[in-house]
Amino acid sequence: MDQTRRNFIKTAVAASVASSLGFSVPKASRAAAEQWEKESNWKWDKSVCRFCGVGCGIMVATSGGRIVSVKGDPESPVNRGLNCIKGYFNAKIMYGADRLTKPLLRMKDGKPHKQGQFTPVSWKQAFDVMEARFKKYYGEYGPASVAIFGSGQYTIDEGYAAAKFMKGGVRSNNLDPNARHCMASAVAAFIQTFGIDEPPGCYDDIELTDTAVLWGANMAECHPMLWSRVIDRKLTHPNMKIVNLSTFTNRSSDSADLELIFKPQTDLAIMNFIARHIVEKGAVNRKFVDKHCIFAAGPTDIGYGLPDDHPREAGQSMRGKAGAHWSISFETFAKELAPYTAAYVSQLSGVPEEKLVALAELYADPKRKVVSLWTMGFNQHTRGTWVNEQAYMIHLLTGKIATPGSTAFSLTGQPSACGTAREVGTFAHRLPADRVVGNAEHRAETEALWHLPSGTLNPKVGTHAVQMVRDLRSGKVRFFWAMVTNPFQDFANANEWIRAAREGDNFIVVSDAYPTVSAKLADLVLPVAMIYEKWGAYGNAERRTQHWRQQVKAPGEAKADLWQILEFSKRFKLKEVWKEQPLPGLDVEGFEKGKLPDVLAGAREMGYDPEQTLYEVLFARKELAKVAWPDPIADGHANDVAEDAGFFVHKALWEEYRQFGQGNGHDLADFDTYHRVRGLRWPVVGGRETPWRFREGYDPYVKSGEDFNFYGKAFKTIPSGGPTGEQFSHKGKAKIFFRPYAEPAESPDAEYDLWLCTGRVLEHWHSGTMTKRVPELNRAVPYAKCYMHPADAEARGLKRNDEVLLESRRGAVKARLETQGRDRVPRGLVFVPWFDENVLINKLTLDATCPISKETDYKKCAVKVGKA
Amino acid sequence: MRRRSELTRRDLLTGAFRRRQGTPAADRAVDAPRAFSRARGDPHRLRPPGAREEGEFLARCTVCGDCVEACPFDTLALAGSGAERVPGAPYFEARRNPCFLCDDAPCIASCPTGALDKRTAIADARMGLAVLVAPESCLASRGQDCEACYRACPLTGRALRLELQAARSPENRARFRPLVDADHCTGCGRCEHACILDEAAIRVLPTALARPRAEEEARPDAARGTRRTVDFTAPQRGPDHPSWASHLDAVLRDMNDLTGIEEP
Repeated sequence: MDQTRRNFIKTAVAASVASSLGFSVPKASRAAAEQWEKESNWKWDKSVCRFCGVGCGIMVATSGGRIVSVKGDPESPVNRGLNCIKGYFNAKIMYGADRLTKPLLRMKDGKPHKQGQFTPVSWKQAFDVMEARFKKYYGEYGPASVAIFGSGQYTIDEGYAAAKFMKGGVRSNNLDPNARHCMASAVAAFIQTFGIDEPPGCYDDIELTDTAVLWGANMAECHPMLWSRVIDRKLTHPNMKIVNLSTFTNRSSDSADLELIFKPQTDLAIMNFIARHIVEKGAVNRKFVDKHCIFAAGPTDIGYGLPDDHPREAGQSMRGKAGAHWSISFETFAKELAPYTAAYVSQLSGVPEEKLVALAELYADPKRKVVSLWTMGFNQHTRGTWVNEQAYMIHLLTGKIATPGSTAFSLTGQPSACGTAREVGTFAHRLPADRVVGNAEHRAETEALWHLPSGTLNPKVGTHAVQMVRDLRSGKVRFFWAMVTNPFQDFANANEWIRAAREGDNFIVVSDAYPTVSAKLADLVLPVAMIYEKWGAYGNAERRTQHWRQQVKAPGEAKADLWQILEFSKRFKLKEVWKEQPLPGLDVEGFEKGKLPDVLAGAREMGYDPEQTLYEVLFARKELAKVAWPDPIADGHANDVAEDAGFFVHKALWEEYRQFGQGNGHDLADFDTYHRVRGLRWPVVGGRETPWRFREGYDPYVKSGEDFNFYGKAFKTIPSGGPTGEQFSHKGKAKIFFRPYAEPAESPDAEYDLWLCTGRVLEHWHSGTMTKRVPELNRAVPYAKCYMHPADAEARGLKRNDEVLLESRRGAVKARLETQGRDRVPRGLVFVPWFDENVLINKLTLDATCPISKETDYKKCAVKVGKA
Repeated sequence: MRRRSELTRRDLLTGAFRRRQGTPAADRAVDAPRAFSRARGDPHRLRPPGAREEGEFLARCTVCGDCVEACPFDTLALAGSGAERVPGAPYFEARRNPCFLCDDAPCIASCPTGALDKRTAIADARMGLAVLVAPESCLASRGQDCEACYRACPLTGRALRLELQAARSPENRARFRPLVDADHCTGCGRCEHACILDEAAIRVLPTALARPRAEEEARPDAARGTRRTVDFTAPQRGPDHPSWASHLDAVLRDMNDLTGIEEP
């Protein structure tokens, strides 16, 4: 290519990029850019990153049916044109060499067989087998025997369709997401503390604060673009301080002013020291606390979420009622804090007293704004709900909450754990917009919006994630469908579930884009369309809902998860699912014991015919089917799902879904608006988003003069003084919980003498399904390492780069040893990231959970390490 | 304008040729002490403006010396017989004697074989790329006012900018970092030559080291990301390409292999 043409292209492209970045571009260059783009047929459109909960905006360019460029969206208020390296490769994730393009079914001698080999089949064959096996188990054991393991990476429409199908259609509450492993503790704490889910603040707090305190959140690697905003604040604001609390030194420590390395689990004690310090120093914001808060406590013998017969569960009398709580007085609260002195907490946690005091002072100083940020260190914790509540405790005591620059920010890990799993309610106990299956009023509201006969919805909480795989092992769950997630790599104590999948009388379906560990263990694998191959929407950690259009077609016969749910729903007639159904253990007022009622009579009254399919009733209902496709908002983009269905499925479902949130604090804007803006933070009322909730002047639900109003409705009437006290209401107030220190579920001992902590690295996302198919990312971090302290290595006769064997009571894996690098662990602890399918570290982890949230503790179990 | 040095063919052949200091007399006093200070690391030899890709250049260059003779600044020299692939091929070392980017590019005009491509306008020359190799030494980066490289750059403000850093120095001085724009930098070496440190903190690295490979830029569906990041190129083939017919077999082989998963 000669110099002049090369120059022309370079100028043109540079000008194209520059002008979209807002730089002034010479007229000649701009003209060159426009001409070049037109000649090469590039079409730019806005979208979002596939990966973490930050929810960066990206711009995608397509040409000739392929994505040719990705760049950070300069107009996104989240990342302002920047991307981390995973975001940079958003397009490449779809072009891995082993992309699945056909349904694959295990067959032997021409028939479906669990011990057979994977064979390509048609979609019709796939659904035939799926339907037959589903109905076999459903017919014999009822709705409790079928389950969908969904995801915080489902698009909102996918999650909504799954919820409608499972709960409204086949009446099973066995729909739980991988967000159970991620945000469940955060959710439980929100609901218990505020009565409503999701953070009060937003990312803007970063640019307004004086302090960022990271608790068990390696933001530098796990929320990189947010971290860049924190660093920028530090560089431009001389008063800004960063504190990193972790069980080992990580990349976030490298930019921290203060680092506290603590013994695993002792975060509970450190929190109480800070609260005690605030109380002792008179730093309690009395005006705020008296007007807007009450104090509360709960039972302590709640166990560890382990199976009934596990020795650690012996004598734990409140395991089944772990979430119970009651109000206490401030005096009681202060008394409970008394033992948590600096000396005691320092001795327990290993953190020097000066550091504890320095941190407490940052919180106590009334002139200092503080943002606490946490993710999995807090949530994946056997007392995860408690420690989340403790974060709110210190922010509420000081009144540093729901205020620009001062907030307790529970960071979401996945791109749509908020938008889909939590807001749509794809949990075993939830319905859309913070409703729950156990509440008769909520069920009635849902049945009305879904046009279901009264009594359709199942009031019994279904099986949550960890219970789901235990039920798979015991045979209580027989049909298991995983979508947008990799359960057999991500569940703790993996060997148990791997065996259950391969050896049980069950049917495992996995919908995924690539051959993952879970796909290989399945009976049927369904190929999926990936993010830019379908329309969709995600909701990020600051409540920003963002929509995108389809950019390119999915390869081969891969189909969107939404299509798969819709197609499968065509296989069910009302008379098969809305008749009486066995539900062992059902004991709820208004229902006969042990069974769900026949609602076909009610259905007929509503004009349904029992011969109609779930598809016609739930998805292609008249009001939905009339939402026409094509639609001008598509701006020329295709929509394979809509073209197949004959109507604009995504828009129809969105407009129905948003009704759940109208007027109850979860308001969302209309579909078209989201395609014109870079997302909006809900509640969106009168076209305006809400950056700070519960705060007068920012939240439309807070009236003038109220100052703060914690208007969440859940758990606002509780016993007073003790579990059997008189019920009283504290409407509009938030709870300051006292939560004590509790021992971990499994600590190192003589044989298994090291802590095992698991987590992530910057370059890989979760189980590596996508990022390992990007050569550049794979080259940057080709395998998972076992990070160990050099003295611990020497003591075991190990050298850096040795292949070592890690063992726990539950399993073993080999890995390469690392004694330097990004994660500098203390003596007595090893860290292993979980992205690598060749280092299935979850074979070693323990399936202990927070008994309230049911979220697994991936950060603490006991292992030993030796030469492989 | 000074006298051109007279370089005869005989001088070259006998290897008795010496480089001359080609700078104006007025600057010589300043330059002289630095003439003997090195650039950081070993000197790089850069080709004259308009030089084609190295292999093509060496194939065409007859070592006639016309470009060396044509250069009014005596920048260019013919290499000795040492480690050079083609003994005698013309080069320059920016630290000693940079290129002054004559508008009429007499060196290019003089080349009889097209080893220096006649279609090259002097602003399009890519002799190398300036790189800040020692930011820790760079005075501007340390908050001590220095603009030597910036002022020396003949493409003022386009090829080389001074970027204000957010953090001030411990003495509360503003820190500026020299920022090279690869789209404009010709690799002339004026910046390296001007750097007032004993070992230049900014220097011109050869094109092969410093710039993206020519082939990647030429690929038709090469994509362009943001200006600050490396270009992302979409893979040529996807699952709909005929070569993917065999990919299903590979996928099935992998899917049916549970090694490492089922063992506890």
